[in-house]
Amino acid sequence: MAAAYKTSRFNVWHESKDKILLYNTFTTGLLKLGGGHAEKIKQVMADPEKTDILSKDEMSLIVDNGFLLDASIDELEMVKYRYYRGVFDNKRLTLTIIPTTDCNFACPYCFEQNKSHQRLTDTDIDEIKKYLSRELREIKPEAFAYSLYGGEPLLCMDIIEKVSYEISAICRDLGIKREKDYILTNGYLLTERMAERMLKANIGRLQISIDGNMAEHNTTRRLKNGAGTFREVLNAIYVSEKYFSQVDVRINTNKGNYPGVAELIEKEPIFRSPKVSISIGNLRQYMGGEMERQEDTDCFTGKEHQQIQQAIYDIIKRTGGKDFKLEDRSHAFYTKLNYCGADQQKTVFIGPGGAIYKCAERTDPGEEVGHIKDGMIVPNARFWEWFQNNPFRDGTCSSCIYLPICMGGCPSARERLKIPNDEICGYWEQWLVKKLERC
Amino acid sequence: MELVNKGITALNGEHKEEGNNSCQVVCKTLCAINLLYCVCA
Repeated sequence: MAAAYKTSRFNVWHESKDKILLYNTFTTGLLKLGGGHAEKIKQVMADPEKTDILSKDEMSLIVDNGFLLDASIDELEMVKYRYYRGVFDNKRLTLTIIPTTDCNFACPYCFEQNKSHQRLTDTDIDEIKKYLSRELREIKPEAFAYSLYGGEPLLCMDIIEKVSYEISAICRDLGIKREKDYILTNGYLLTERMAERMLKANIGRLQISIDGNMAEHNTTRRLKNGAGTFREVLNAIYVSEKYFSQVDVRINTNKGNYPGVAELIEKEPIFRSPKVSISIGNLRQYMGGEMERQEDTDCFTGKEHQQIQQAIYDIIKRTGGKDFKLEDRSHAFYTKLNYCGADQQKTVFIGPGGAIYKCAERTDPGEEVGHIKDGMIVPNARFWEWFQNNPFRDGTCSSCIYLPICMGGCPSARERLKIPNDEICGYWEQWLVKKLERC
Repeated sequence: MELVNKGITALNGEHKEEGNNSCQVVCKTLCAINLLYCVCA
């Protein structure tokens, strides 16, 4: 008796004047079809009992790439399996250290609303050493790097130097290559002198945020006394391009500041540098707690966010910069294990007091998922709850054809906003449409 | 009928890169602080 088949719930048809494509968001299988073939395949997809109209080779392509599958398989269970492979991946440690929770900026949209100002102490650093020694001995990676985050980490370069020295010593003892560390900074303190100190502390890559032209940037990225920071931050980007191997410029944008963002990118030659990557973030004013999500009408939806990114990458290419679309490099098509590292057990943020967090957006007091004691993580109730916060709990995500590419959107937003999340929904659909158009 | 991209199953597909080198520009932009570690398969 022939096997009973069903049509995959993750099949996406893309038809244009010159091509017909069939894509599967779970397997990433992609077929280009001529008119005759497309009609035959559509007939089978509409009625999987009609597989006898396909040749053996055609049938093999359709089944091997997941467009048609055993009728008894629940595809959502397969997505869950892949998700949990990611959650419990023990092969890599993604460590971020928060040397201070203090910041010299007072950005109105900052999600770190309730920080007390603390720095890592020598005791905290000793705990980090114990934790990292044990983890690296267990994982045995070929190379190791970590990230620095805050607050504003450059407010305590002395602590960064101490941490870096200790981590390098651990890696040396274990024969693990040290890769360049990454820092997220607002850039205000990043002078040439500071860059030299950072290099000595093994920092080779960084992210700086700038929110458009001077007028727009100074509206949102201000010092605590209200003064603008545009000149210092722009200078920091130029300094970084000179000193560091990888410079990620983060630009947060919404419907209000977008014209100023486009003007900045057109005007400043630094954005044509091959060392500078631009990432376009969704500026969410409500994150600062001064308004509710539904009041933030300037916030882009997921689909609009994707379109704005494409528009900015077009500006960069048109003005002689790199082609960011080509930077979507090795995998023209891809799928995800998890949405991000926050959904994985081996992603850890360590802050003052040995506090452990799962996500950089969730580092306010009370958002700890545990602490370190004797080099071990001691989980609290939030730790266990965090791992229950998965996309399968929500019917919108569980029934979405784009779930395997999206995996439910930002876990922090999932927890904070409760899904569906307007800023994510539609993003990956639009991304896929653009990808398929370029095929 | 041309196979443009070969499909993978739930059993295969690995992280493409280590550390914070997000392998897709689009990945990074979705995180408020750009620390969206790449977990592409």
